[in-house]
Amino acid sequence: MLKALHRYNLEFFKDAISVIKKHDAWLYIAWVDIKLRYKRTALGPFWMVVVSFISIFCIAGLGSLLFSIKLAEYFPYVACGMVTWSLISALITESCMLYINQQWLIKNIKTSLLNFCFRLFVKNLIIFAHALVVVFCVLFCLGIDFKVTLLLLPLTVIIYMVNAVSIAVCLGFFATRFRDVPQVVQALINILAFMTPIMWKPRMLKEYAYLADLNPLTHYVAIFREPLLGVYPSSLTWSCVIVFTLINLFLTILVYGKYKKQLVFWL
Amino acid sequence: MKNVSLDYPVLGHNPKFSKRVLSLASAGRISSGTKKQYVRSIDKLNLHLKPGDKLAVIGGNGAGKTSLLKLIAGIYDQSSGEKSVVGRVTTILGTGFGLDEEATGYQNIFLGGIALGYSYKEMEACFKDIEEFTDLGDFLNLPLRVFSAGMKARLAFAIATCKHPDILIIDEGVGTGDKAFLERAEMRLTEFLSKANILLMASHSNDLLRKFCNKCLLMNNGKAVYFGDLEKGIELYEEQAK
Repeated sequence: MLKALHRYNLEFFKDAISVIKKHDAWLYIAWVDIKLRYKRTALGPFWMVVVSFISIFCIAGLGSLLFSIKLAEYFPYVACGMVTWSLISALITESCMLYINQQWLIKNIKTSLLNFCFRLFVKNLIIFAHALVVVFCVLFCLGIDFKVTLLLLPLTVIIYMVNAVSIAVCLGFFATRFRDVPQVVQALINILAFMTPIMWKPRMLKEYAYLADLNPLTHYVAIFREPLLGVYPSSLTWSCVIVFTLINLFLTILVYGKYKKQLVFWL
Repeated sequence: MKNVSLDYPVLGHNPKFSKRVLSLASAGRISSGTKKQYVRSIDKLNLHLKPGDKLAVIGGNGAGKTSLLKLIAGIYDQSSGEKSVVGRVTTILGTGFGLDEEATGYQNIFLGGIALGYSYKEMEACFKDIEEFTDLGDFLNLPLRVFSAGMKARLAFAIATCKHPDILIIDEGVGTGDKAFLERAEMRLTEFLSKANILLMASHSNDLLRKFCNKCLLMNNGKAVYFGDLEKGIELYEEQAK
């Protein structure tokens, strides 16, 4: 068991390092991906800015009436939470179809599968960065100063990268082998959007607030949202994220080492 | 390659889920044969190529030609046996690999090159060469969807051969292209072959094979029937086809 793990370990990290070394390649492809997606549109990638601005505005307005919180307090919370959630949900849902969409390439050219994972992450990070423009505008208009906690963001991005690659491997392999998985994930992600504190705050649950902490995505959202709002994420959040990241990484090494050679036959 | 076999698992052909439940419920009395199905596409094949070998892979449909090429290219992994491939491999298994219809010709040079495993910088280095070889001029600034089939093939061929790999694998000819291009493609291939590298080519065109190959592997049902002289191999294959 340990011996196998050691072998898989080497395999995963060897491939990961060689892909990271060729970072100019996947950075370029991710950039072209985005350019092509918004080709022949007037606003280009700023469509994302417009769309996220409208949806944040509507939901924040509705929420502040529903929960009778001041808009000025509620708006930044929702704005930061929602852009983070759109990053998470895009990473999860797109992971499912990652290899299926690239099957021509995988079947005809020897490529590193991890390449697709990094590319997926970078593409969505660029989209996220565009949406972040809205958030900064909102924060600026509300007169919220930029805090030192923003310095935590690079760390958060690295944690997200590790998790995104892990999910792209685990979920991507699983969804390629069992084609029911994308449907299940699509359904689950919609439910999770409500179960994760994005539009509501855990303390609104009063004595049941601990239920929100049981959801790992709560913590993943928090490590992006809290620094944006000028708050340090709690130690519970950090420890949960670190533990889940390690579990993710462990699973990824196993799945990747064991099945990377079989994936092509599943397509 | 030593004693290499390749088994393809056949997915989506398993008995239905409901049948499997039935089989479990009846404690196996209603057997549904839940065993995975496999197709053996290559059967205990031995092959040794040295630098300078230009191998023609021939055989009928389903003989295992493409599987063999993909196995050497590292796309598939053998189910049993041993394989070792030394050097950089490039495959031309079809045209249009990794190319995007919406992207411009220039962007596609990078997209294609990256798909083949080169870095952005490496592609920048052979940019001029591709520009010259394809002779597409201003077309490279336009999206790929306005290219004709022949122009796309030209671009794909140029990208695939721009880096002089140690081992080149070609499946089913060079594709479409006008006369002038075919001549240039041949010249490029000849130049490439003069560098004592290995070529593997699967094709049904004997003329093409005669032009580039000096050895022959005749396959039938995943087995190597004959390995050696090209003319003798083609003869045997034609006999077999009768």
